Amino acid sequence: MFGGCRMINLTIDGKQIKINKGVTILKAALDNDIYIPHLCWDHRLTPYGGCRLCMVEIKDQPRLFAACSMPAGDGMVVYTDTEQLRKVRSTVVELMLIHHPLDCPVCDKAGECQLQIMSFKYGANFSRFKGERKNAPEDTGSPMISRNTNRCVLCGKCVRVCGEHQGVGAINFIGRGFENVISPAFEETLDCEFCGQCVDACPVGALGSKPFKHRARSWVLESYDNICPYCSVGCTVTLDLREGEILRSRGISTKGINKGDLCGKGRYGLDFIYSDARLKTPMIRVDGQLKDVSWDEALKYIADGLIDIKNKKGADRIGAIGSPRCTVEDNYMLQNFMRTVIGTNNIDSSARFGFAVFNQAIEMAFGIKRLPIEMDAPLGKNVILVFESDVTSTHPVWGLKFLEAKQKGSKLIIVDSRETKLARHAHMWLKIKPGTTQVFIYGMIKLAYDEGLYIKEDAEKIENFSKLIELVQSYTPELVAKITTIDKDDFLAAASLYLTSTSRIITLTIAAAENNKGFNTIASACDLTNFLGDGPKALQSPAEYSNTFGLWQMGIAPNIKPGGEKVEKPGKTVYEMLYKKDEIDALFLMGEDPLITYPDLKTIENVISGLQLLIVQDIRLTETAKLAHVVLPASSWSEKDGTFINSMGRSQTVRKVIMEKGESLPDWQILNKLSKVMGQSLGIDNLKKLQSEVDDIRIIAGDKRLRYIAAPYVEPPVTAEYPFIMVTGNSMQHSGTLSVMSKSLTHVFSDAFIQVNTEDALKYGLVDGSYATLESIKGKTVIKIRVTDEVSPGVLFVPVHFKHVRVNELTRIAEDGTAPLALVKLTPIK
Amino acid sequence: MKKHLISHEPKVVSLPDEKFSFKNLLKDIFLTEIISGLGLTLSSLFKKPVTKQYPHEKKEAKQGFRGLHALARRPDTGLAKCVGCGLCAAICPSKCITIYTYEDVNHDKIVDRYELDILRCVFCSFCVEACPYGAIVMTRHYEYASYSKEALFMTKEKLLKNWDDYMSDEDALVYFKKYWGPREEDFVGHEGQAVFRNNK
Ligand code: SF4
Ligand code: SF4
Ligand code: SF4
Ligand code: SF4
Ligand code: SF4
Ligand code: FES
Repeated sequence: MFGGCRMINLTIDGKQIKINKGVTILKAALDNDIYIPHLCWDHRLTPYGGCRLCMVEIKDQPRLFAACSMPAGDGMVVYTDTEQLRKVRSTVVELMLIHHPLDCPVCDKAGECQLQIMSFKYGANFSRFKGERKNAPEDTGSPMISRNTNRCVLCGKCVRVCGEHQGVGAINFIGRGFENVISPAFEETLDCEFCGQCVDACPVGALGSKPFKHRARSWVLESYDNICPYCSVGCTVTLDLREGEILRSRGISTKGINKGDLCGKGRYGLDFIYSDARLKTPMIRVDGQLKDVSWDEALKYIADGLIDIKNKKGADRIGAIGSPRCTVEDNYMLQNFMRTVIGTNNIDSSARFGFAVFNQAIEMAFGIKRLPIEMDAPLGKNVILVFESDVTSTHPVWGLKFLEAKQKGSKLIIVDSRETKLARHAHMWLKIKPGTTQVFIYGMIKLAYDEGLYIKEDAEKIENFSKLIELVQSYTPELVAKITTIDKDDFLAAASLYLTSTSRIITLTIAAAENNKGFNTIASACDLTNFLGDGPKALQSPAEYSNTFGLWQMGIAPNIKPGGEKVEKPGKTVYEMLYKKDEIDALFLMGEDPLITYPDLKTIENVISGLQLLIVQDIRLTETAKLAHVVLPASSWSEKDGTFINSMGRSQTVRKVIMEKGESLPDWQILNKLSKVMGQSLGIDNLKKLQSEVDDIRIIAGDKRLRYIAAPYVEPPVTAEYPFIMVTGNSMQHSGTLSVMSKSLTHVFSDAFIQVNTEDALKYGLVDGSYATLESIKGKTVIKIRVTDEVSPGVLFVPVHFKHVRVNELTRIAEDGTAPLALVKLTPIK
Repeated sequence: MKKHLISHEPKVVSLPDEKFSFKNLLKDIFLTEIISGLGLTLSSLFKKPVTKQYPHEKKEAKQGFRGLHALARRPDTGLAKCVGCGLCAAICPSKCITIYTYEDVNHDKIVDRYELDILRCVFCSFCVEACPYGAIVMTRHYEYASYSKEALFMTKEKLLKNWDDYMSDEDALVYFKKYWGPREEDFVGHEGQAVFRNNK
């Protein structure tokens, strides 16, 4: 053999196969379209060898081998389907069925159940063994998953997928012998993150999805693939429909970027399209009330209003806001409408608080327009450093890669004030004071500089070098420890681990819902990456929502055109349109609900109430729509064709799989119609034409010039009156306000809460489950207390999804580049 | 070797030779064939008629006749036996059965709607054969012609009523047991082995 050759040859069922060394026989066979029955194997998990269905014969070997755990050897001759094997498999199935309740007629897995398929193929029609049929009651208490241990074949896939892959470990085997069942600890009702990974993994009907329970037989379903509308990972979801209604969504191991993984949002949150709150007809405000009207009427009303404002006050008095939940086509149309028909650059979106900040930083630091984000970026890295980001909540399936990397030996360091899922798995979890990541990073740069842990010539060549060094000089480990409240030795340990490693990445996400990072934070991360000469690849900061990237690419920003070309006369940003009074007279909102998701609600409310014309185009009657003059019903995801671009820059087609709700229309069509009514056709008659126009957009690349930004750290003012730092963000089961429309997800949790540390709870007399007033300079609200050790003392965490608790009334914006943290106080309600 | 049932060889058909004979001449002169035919008619005049004067006279269907469908009731609760497994719908060659189920408050599977479009049914009785519980049956009732399509579109309620109307008497139950014997009894397996969850 040639030296270093890692390929081996073997024969399976007479077929010559060339594969990598170390691959199991099962994998080799499956990859080459040879099917070996298997029940306990999963491509994501380590082999288990529990079910013995995958037995194969190997020539000149006296015994049989389990193909899922036997590595293929060079020159092996394998048979997968012989008389002897069929007999063995038949016995295996027979044994599995001894205690099985055989209640296929009422089991939702029937038709796609592996045990059923195996019995059909190999099973005998009688049993030689007598045994009691299992008859335990079904556990239906949990909101998402029903557990019927009678049907379980103890393959352990759920246990492994939950513990090994999902990093939760909510279920395990308990009991022995006949009593052996899978169960949450102490046989309580399952209360986990409800990702549903175990449900998809279960080969039989033991774990079932409750929203789907008893709704259809598997063989009547039609399947269509689509792209998940939630986060920017862009997972492929396989939607199962019956008679035009989406009943469930699954991940398929061979499909998409996610290869079978989905999070709870992608699996259970898609029923938002069936929400009762969906809009069905256009509406116009008449005498203070929204009244149903026809499309013609509504469009005429808008056209008249816009033309009037344009003629009297100028196009500059009209603004628009696009949405990262809408498709590329929709967003392209919006900017096209605003720039061509109205003639203004006043276009922006919620990306202003997140992705735009990010892009500004990376453009300054690396001279590029987008970061090279990769799905597999965490894999194979020695050290992974995550700053104040809950990756497994904001980008759940991507987050799994961090867990996988950690399992494969990467050192995972989490710097966060909250105990995130990754923090629980990390080698090191440093409890940082919210918003001080920048100091931590500057401390690292200083350390690297002092210890010479950088490539001198390369680092010095970059513009602004002396400015950066001067800036970081004061950040000695002592000062870092003081500001960040991290122990000095811990800081030194983490920093040196990162600085001395050869392959490393930094991850931090930035999103509208999060307020613990600002431009300066990102800038410092860019500086560190540049300083160490790792290149932009070492900074992994994905976009927020399913199409945030696409929205940006389509020029939904006042200063860039589609493709990234700069405009000569930039328009107004969100900061001007929504936070300054009397900047605009008309506002066109497409798919955004600023009155819940944007910070500092009170100010927005104030500005919006002064508008002459507020047009809201959305899938449901949002809080903002309730104040609108005209409301237009838009077709939602899965009701229209289009494209999403995920954080990795991958364009993926989203499909129409169900009929649109009521009279709703795709966003781009509404805009197209409107432009016609306004007498200025954009020359787009169909989606194809629109898409070819989008395809022709020239994407501008940056100049690739490296630069240190060297943004100074500004200490947030602390007052004794407001003792807490409030961090906002997305929770694991929700994403913005979209998921709140999903019946299933709100079933998991639907009430806003604020996480308070146990120490603080004692100090201020806050009781778990009780209500308290939450107050900042900006405003106040009432919220439920959840006492937990997941947050550090002095820090509060609150998810921003729920409209009945207007958390964003308390938050603020920070245009100066600092983290827009909110200082608050909590008073228990007696 | 597979035998061809239909031969593709061209066949030569030859007409029998009509030979002249004295016997045939006599037959033609005395009209013997007509007379024997009339004799048959005459004899039949005094026999019992084989045709039935439907609808004045009705015939009882034999056991196993594939008449109107019905949904069997459980003797204990009086509810439909059907659990909504969908096997009848799956096997139906004309795809005329549609079943909608849901989960009730006790987390049991409830058949919400059971629809059978008789106008598309080909009366193959596959549905009955497939049902593991003998829940869908075909009764001996065959008189349900109607002028409206509506009347021939069977719902769960109508099918249950069919059971009450045509299958609740002793005689019908014997017929039911004998011909549409519920398959659930085949699942019993060994003596002493529990069958279904709640039957134990
Ligand atoms: S839903 Fe997810 S977290 Fe819950 S038990 Fe299943 S795999 Fe584990
Ligand atoms: S519940 Fe399903 S996945 Fe889990 S051990 Fe049982 S059969 Fe396997
Ligand atoms: S990780 Fe993101 S894209 Fe994937 S299923 Fe979850 S929300 Fe959807
Ligand atoms: S008798 Fe045949 S055609 Fe008629 S419903 Fe049953 S399976 Fe379908
Ligand atoms: S096969 Fe029998 S139990 Fe199953 S749905 Fe049809 S009638 Fe009901
Ligand atoms: S798949 Fe190999 S033992 Fe289960």
